[in-house]
Amino acid sequence: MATPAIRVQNLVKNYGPVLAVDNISFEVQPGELVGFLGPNGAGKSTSMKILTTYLPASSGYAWLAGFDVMYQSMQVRERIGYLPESVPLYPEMRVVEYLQYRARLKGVERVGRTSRIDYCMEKSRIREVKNRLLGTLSKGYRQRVGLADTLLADPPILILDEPTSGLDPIQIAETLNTIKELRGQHTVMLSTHILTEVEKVCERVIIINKGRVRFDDTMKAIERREPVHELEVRGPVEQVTKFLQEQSGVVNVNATPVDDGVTAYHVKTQGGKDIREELGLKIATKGWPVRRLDLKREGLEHLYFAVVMQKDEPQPQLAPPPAA
Amino acid sequence: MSTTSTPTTEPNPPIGSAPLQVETAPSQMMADIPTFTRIIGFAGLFFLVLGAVAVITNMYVGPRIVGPGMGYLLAFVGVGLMLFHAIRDGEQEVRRMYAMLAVAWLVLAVAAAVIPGPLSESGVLSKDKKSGYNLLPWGVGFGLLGLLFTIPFTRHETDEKYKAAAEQGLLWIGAGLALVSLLGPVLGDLFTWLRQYQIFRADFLIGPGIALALLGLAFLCAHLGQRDTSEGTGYWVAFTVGAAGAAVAIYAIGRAVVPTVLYEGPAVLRKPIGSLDTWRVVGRVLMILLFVGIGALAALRQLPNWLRITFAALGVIGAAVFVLGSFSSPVHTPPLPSLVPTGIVLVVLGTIYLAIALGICSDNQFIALTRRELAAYFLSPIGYLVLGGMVLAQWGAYWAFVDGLTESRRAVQEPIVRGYFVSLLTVFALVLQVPALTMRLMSEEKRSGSLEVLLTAPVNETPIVLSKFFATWLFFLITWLPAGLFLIALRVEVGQPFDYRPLLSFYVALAAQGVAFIGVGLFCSTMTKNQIVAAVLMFVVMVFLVACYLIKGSQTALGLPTFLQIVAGKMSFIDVWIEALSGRLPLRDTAIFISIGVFFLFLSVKVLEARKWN
Repeated sequence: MATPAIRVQNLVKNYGPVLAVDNISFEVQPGELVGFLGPNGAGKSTSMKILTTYLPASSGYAWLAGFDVMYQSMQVRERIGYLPESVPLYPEMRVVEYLQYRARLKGVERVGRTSRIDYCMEKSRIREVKNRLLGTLSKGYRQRVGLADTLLADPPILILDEPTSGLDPIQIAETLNTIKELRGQHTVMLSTHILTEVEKVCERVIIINKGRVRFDDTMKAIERREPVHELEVRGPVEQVTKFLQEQSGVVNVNATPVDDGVTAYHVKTQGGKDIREELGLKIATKGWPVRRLDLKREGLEHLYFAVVMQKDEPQPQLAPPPAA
Repeated sequence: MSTTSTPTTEPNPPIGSAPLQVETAPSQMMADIPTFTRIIGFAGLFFLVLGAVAVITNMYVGPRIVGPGMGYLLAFVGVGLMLFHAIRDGEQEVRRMYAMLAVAWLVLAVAAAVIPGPLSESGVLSKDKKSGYNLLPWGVGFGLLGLLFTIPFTRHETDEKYKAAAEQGLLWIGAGLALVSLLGPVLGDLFTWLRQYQIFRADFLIGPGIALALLGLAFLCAHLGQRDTSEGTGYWVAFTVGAAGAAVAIYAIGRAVVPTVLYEGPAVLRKPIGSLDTWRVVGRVLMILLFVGIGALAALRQLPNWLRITFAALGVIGAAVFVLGSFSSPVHTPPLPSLVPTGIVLVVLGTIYLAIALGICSDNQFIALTRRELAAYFLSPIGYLVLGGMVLAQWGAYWAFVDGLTESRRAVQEPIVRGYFVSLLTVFALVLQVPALTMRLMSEEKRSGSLEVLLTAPVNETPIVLSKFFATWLFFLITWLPAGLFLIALRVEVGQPFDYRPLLSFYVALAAQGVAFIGVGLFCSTMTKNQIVAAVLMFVVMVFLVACYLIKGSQTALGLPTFLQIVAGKMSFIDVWIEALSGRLPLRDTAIFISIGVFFLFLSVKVLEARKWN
């Protein structure tokens, strides 16, 4: 296998007593488009700052394109494009001037630089503002200027910290579209807390919370996750549960009372087999009225809530609400 | 979302399928109607006309209530206000009107250059009128005004046709001026028959020639500022400017050195009694080795071919001349002295051209960063505030100085310039100026987060700190230039020559102290995210430095221990000024300031790197 584009091993970062990143490890293959999810304060930005060599890790290692972020920082920086959370720009410069300046800093060859800048402006759709002062640009345009900047040197790895925050829905769709087009030629790691974005563009999802990786899988796997039958039945709880468990293929049954006499059951089947029709028929013959019978797939949102709200260690304060 | 052309009512349009509507926005910020700037512009026009009328009536009718001095001042203020309006107001009618004004200035400039003068001197028509008499200051001054009013027009103009025309105009005027002023003396030097025309004579270069060369460069810079200089014609223009500058400088040096070496021949290497002078031989060998070294640079493969050929030619020719001069003297006519002053002026002008072209063309990170920092001063109000404040303070000091000179009935001892710089006003201005220049350098980058963007690009901490320092230091020196220029007015008004040379040692001392001031200020700015804190820190440092002067001057030295007294004495920058202005440049004290500055720059780099220390 080729060198992973991003490889993180036991990365820890603490700001004094506050543990921002707690022993995370993951790998990203070249050309992958990874969504980095988590609530505010989960450690997304900190991890990204370490990956871009801006901050040192307290312990652990990270390699980008095979180069250590701590000891080969220059080589790493030559290979990344980084879009920070709130794109800071010099307000007195014009868009083209800024990109020219950045291109020189990044060592873009003189021959072909102009067309490269044109291409990046085209990609991030800032052509029409190219002669405007950066200080007069709206939030969405600033974000896009930042995106154009990341693309300038054609880096193999793009690290985008909340590229869509503060944009209107059309701009979000366009930006995501641009990012999606980059997949394949660039490895993209994008952080966000908007789940639908990830569902639309990402191939893989890493969810972190309180500095730990809670979930790491591809979108395909999430879609393939076993569905759950949800039903609400009026009837004696124990008997119904027993009956459901007896059905062929049923692995697990969970009962929770809903309201007077009605109980909700979550039924998992082997291999996610759809047994709705069978169940409906059989329960009806038992004479228990069925209020609802449904097959529900656990989407990303469900997963996210489950992962983020999960309490596996005593925490004095509540997890911050997901700001989706 | 409803504007997408997907017929199905999907909640979210599938990404990448439907072409989204072309955005018209940048949420266009419509500037308010610039009423205020327009009023300022009209006031400027009024003052300009009033001033011009006052000057002309005084000249031809006789003394009026408003004297010529007041008239010039009014016109000057008026032009300044109009320029402000031209920069701020980009409305089509306004900018085109100012473009016409710019053309008018240029026509006036040409007229001033061509019409023979003096027109009339105190009513008596001069017999020996000659064209070019009015070139300084009128021709050059009008040319500069034309340039100043053209720049805002090219920046505001949206019609490509007019914009391109203005840019081309800047280019050709600049190229013409540069050609005349730099090539004129060179051609006149090569072909004697040309010297019957004024512009080919060496004395033309020393007078208006320098001004024209710099004005031409300013036009070329204005042109390049509007163009993309990484490729295409913009790059080639910049390249040509640099190559021309280098060629002129090399020609001037060669013109001074080659004939002399070939004329003197091997005799110069011998003592009067005939034996070889060891040190002269060593010097000659070193020169030959230097040129061999330049020639050897041609072997570097990473250099572009044209540069390698140039190096090789330079090295071979230089070495050959020195070798030839060591064994025979092929030239028999004694060469005319050409280094002073023409040669020096040509070398300096050529080097300025080359340096500016390098600054524009180079892709070096340090140069790119320095350019941005320097531009930030000229694009932000703080730069103009400091510049304006310094001009005002220096003008006040000049006023007080002239006042003092006229009050004193007896002769003033040389160097008279001492009383000018060492005054309460200039010291006070310096104490305020340094924090104002340095406070924003690093703290602004830290606060806005742009430092993160900068340091995640492949740039080291050292060039970042050095470029910020260098740009601020250059700007610092620029703010002190008017003080020297005011003295030209003294020379013109009084008509008495005075010793200006202490100014040179003063400026050397000031440049060295600037290294320390800016270095420490940059360090203060690196320590904090807050500009105010950085400014206050630096202000305290400056007050301490002034206190050092007071401690040194006081009888009791505040009862400080001797060691601290010595330190305070060394830190007293005002004492260094006084020394330098008496014409004795204290090298040791200057070196102390430079080393302080270097030390704090080193610390600043370390502070930036410290975020990576665990």
